[in-house]
Amino acid sequence: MTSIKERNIYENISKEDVKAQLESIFGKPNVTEKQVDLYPYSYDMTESNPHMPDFIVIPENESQLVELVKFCNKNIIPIVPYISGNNVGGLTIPEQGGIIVDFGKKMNKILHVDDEMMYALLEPGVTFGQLEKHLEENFPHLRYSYPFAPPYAGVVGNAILSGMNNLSCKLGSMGDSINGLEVITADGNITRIGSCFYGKKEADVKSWWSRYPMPDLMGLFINWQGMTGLVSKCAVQLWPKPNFKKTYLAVTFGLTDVASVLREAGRTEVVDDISAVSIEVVKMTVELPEPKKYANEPDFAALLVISATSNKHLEAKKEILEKTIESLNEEGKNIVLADVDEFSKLFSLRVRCYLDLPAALLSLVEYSGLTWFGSYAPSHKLEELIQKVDTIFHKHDIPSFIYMKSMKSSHYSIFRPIMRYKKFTEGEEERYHTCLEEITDTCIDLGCIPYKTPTWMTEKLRKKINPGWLGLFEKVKNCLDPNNIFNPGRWNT
Amino acid sequence: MINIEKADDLLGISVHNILSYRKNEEKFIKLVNNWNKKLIIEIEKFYPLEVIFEGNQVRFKIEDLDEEVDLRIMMSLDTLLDIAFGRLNPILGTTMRKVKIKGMYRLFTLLKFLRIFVKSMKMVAANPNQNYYELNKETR
Repeated sequence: MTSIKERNIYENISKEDVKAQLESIFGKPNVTEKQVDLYPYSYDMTESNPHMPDFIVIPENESQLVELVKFCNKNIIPIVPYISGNNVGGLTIPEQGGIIVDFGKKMNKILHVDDEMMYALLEPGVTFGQLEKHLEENFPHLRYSYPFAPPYAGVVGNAILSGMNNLSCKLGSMGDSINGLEVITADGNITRIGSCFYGKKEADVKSWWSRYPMPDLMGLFINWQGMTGLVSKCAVQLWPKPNFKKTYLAVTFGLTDVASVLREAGRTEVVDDISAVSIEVVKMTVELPEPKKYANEPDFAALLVISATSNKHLEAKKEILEKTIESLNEEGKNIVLADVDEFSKLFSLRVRCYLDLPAALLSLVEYSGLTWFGSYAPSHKLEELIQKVDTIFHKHDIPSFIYMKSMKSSHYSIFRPIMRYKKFTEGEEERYHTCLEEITDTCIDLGCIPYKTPTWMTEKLRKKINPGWLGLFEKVKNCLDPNNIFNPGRWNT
Repeated sequence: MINIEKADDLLGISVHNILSYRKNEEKFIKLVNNWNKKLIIEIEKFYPLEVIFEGNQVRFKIEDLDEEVDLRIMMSLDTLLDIAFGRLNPILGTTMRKVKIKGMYRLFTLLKFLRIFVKSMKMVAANPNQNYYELNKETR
């Protein structure tokens, strides 16, 4: 694995002076250096190397963040943004120590929901559960899009790291649905990007309605894993919530038949979301932690969600989707389509956790360790990916757990082999990491691009990426963060 | 008391879910106890599932199935859902060839199968929450 670059952050200033300065910015109760407080921030569910931070601070407003960034930039102290630590990639492990900025505790306000222009302006700590509840209670006619993640996962983190949610078959990456950002850059400037860029003072909450048409500076902060600045506000698009909804279950027999369901159903443009999982995952949901797949069982289960504004609209969409599956069966695929609401009642209501998002999914949370190769994948390679990754899982005697999504009407896909393991059992992390490395090499060779990448993965990527891209990447990083204070170590910086 | 084995295949999990719904109901216990029959349920495109009633035990098999069983029932998943949600009468289903039964001449067995399975399916379909929370209790 990648070795951690140690840096002595107290070359220029003593730890006591750092503490005093942090307490003067955030107030004594919002700063800690106690080992017992720091420890939970030093690791995550993955096998990424743990590393202790030096301080945790809990900010309440932008002006505190401006002061913090100026202070850290002057003294070359790392800053790591943190919301709920729920990512699966070691993204908030402070690889070079420094200060963790925990947005989840106090900078977690929904600042504005604009009914007319359909967006929500959020502080970084807002969670999916919080947003879902707020919309349900105050704007029941609007909806956001939710991932296969627990309610305590952060909305802004998901958006700026290009997560994928349950409208992704229509919308694609959540990064595409950001209207505006407010960012604190290394020089301590507050920069507003998007239609909120007018004005010298604070932006009107009603001005966060579009990302374009000015030069798109948002790309300087999206997918950078906090390496270029601190995001302090984010406006995300909302959508009308249709009154009619139906979810189908498609079970596919034959290891790779699910790939054509993802591609063909996705391009019908009638589906909000298609998520597919190995059949083993369905069993994990009903408390079979180490499931066996029997020879004649289906290989994958896919959920296909459609929504509509009237019953007639829904019927038309149903007809299109059912005919698409029928055509695939006529071509020799082996797919059974059923109403998932009905099926789940007979099978087990536990599978409803995949429908009623956001939700804590037993299959993702029941083990102390969780790791994956989460990637954007070329849709035409899905069959090959499934076959090769399934073989690797079997070789390592690990239950096959593949999660896939069709993105933006099938323009691309999500391909995510997942592993749960006992983090604190000796030898387990190494065993699972060996399997994950093999999967990573195979998937990257087939063109997959991992997201929310741990550093050992970006090290592999760097060997494959064209030098022009890497050169530009380094230039941008050096230009925006010359002292490498923002989440240093990510992408091997 | 009826002991229903926990299955680890998809159809077995479903049948376990359906039968468990009534496992504490006196009428159901009387029906199932010492029935001592073997049935095979086959859902189109899936695989045959053998359900064995033996004393107060209910067990499942999907490998090495018995050649001679008392009833063999075949239908599609759609038909199963139609019956569970009351859109299709199972007897009418047989006349429409949507439900195929081998061993239909064993009238008492067939009737008991309907009282055990179809009634339970309909109850679960109508009020699945009971099972859901019961499962939760067991895992706390």
